[in-house]
This record gives sequence, C-alpha cells and structure tokens, in this order.
Amino acid sequence: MIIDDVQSFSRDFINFKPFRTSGRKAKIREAYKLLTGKNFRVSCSTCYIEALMLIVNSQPMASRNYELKRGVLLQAFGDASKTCTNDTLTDELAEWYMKNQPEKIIYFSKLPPWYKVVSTPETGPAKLFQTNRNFARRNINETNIVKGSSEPPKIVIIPPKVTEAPKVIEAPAEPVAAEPKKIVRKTSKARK
Amino acid sequence: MTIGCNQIVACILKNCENLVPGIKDKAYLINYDCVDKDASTFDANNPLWLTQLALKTLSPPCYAFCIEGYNFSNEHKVTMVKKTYQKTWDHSFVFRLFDNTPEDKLWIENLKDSRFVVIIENVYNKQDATLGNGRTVFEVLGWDFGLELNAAERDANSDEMLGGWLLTTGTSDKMKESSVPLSYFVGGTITATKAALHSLLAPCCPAGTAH
Repeated sequence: MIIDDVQSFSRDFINFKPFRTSGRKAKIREAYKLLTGKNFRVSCSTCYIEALMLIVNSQPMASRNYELKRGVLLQAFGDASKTCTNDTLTDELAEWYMKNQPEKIIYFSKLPPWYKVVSTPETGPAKLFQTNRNFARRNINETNIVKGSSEPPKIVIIPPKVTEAPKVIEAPAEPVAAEPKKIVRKTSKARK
Repeated sequence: MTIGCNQIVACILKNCENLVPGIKDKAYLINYDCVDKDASTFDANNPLWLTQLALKTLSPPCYAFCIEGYNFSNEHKVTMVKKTYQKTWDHSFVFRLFDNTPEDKLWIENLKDSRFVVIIENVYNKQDATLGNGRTVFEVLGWDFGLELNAAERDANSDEMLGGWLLTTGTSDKMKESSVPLSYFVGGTITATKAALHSLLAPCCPAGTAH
C-alpha cells in the first residue's frame, strides 16, 4: 500500500536531503491525494513535509521494542517458527531470543530501555546490563555473547535499584561565626 | 606460521549440473563503511562462505542500493593477480545505466568517490540436496577493501549504449582482494538468503526485489 510505503521512508525523507528524490515525492503526492482527495502543490517544498506528517499520522505506526541490524537472519536450531529478519521480528520473538540465546544480542540494533550495553576496562567490550524489574523472570544468567574470543565478555545483570528512604543525618553543631551587623540605612520614606 | 594451511585436502569431482553463465540484471551496492564485519559471520569450515552479512546502524542509514540493468547488461569477472611472493584477486563488476538524468549524474559523481561492496546474483543455481540448493546464486565482491569506480564512459553516439553510461568498477590498482568473491548463503536455504537480502534493501529498491 502506498501509505505504508511512504511511512517507511518518512524519517529518512525528513532528515536527509539526498533521500528527497523525485520518485518519493511522487509517492507522497499520490498518498496525499488518496487521503485527502486534494491535489498537491508540487512547487511548494515545505508542503511535502507537511503532507508527510499528515500521512504518517493517518495510521498508527507499529512500534517495536526490538530491531535487528539490516541483513541479519536469526534462526533457532530445529524450530523454523523462530526464523526471522528485521522485517518479520516481533517483540515476542525477540524476548524469546533474549531469554534462550542471549549471545545474539550483537545482532540487535535497537533494544528496550531496560537493556544497556556498556563496556568497561575490566570486563571488555559490549556487556549487557539489564536493569529493569523484569530481570528476574527473564532468567538470563552469565552467558558469553561474543564467540571466537578466548575470554569473551559476559552478560551481567544488575538487579533493580531499591529506592530507600533518604536517611536524615544531623550535622554536628558547628560554631556559627558571628554575622556582621547589617547596616540599615533609613530611607527618606521610612522617616516619613 | 600456521602449519598445514594452504594444502589441498579435498577432491573436485565431475559436476553433473548444467553450468549456466551470466549474472542477473539486478545487483546491490553497499557502502563499504556500512558493513558490520563484527556481526557478519562465516561458515565454520569455509571462510569463503558468508553466512550472515549485517549492516551497521549509522546516520544516514545503511542500505543495499539496487542497480537495475537490462537484458544481461551487468558483467562480472574475477582474475588472479600474481605478485612476487603472494597471489591476490582482482574483482571486476561492469554495469550500464541506460539514462542520463541529473539524478544519474549526481549518483555517478557520488559513486566516483566511494568504496562499496557489491552483491551479485548468478544465473547458475546449483541444486544440491545435501548442502542446500542455491549456494551458487549470490556472491559478494570487494569484502576486504571494497570496489571503486575505475572507469566511466558515455558515448552519445554509441549504437549499443544509445547515450547511456558504461561504468566499470573493480579493486584498486594496488590493494587487491585476498580471496575470490564470497559466496553469500544464509540460513541454509535460498529462501532465507533472499529474506536476509531483502532486509538489507533500501526503500528505493522496487517492492518484491531480491528474487
């Protein structure tokens, strides 16, 4: 469908000028006419952005927590239903891979905010830290995520922080320096 | 130094399939810097079998950009280059643009200064029930250094090209590839390979490509 097609390149069209090709502009015009029934003003350059906003907002965009790098095909041995690319990835599938094959984290380009990949000098590059309250049910134990190296970095789970009530610490009484006397000048109004 | 490498360890038997020449009219160009070599994988027993080609997540976004020829207008050749101590490989990919719009000219100007990896699709599709059908279909050129534009020519009076562009790409003059083009075969099936290739494609590629 033409609207889905326009939605797929909308972000690139807005952000990068080389992506504003005549072919894509034609698709925007076509989608605009399909939605509104009106003809598009071809000469108006900003109208394309406005039309794009209208087209993008016309349909709820499917939002995913996970995305794969382009070109990656995930497979689970013996289970064809788990085969997916970025085009066919769902959050459920991604969750399954996170739970059962966490080493495939390197193939993901987008992760939910509760995952954090960091590198430290002690542990080597690319460590995965999972920091939300769901970490317990995911049951991801220390697992190698990079194959081939002798000492691969490991996935480390950080338990969620427990927010404690702040303790009130009384500061020791310190001798307070005598404040200099303030000199208050009486104004003429005060006199009155 | 590795002991035992570079030795012949297997036989080549007669191929009972009909060998079909040529590559298809559609090829895919990927900017060299976009290839995520850390996330790309090879077969454990064969370093010339690319089992995963992943792209980096950069801005502007990385894609495989299509070029479409016409009537077998794309050409590919690989030749060995013998040097004093080592032998390297020259990858060549020739394609033709049957147009001359300002967009085409800008595209060629950008191509002139870039390095890129090319995925080609061979017509030859060997049927092999044991190892998987379609392992001979897709190949990747320029994995080590990328290809570059070595020649561009437009003859307005050409009978064959009718004023279109003839573009010759290949490895650079000095830095040659260390191996022959890589076979690209993902997931053990040609269907999975096409699905993986499809996920590489830029939005400008026509829908339903990677066939």
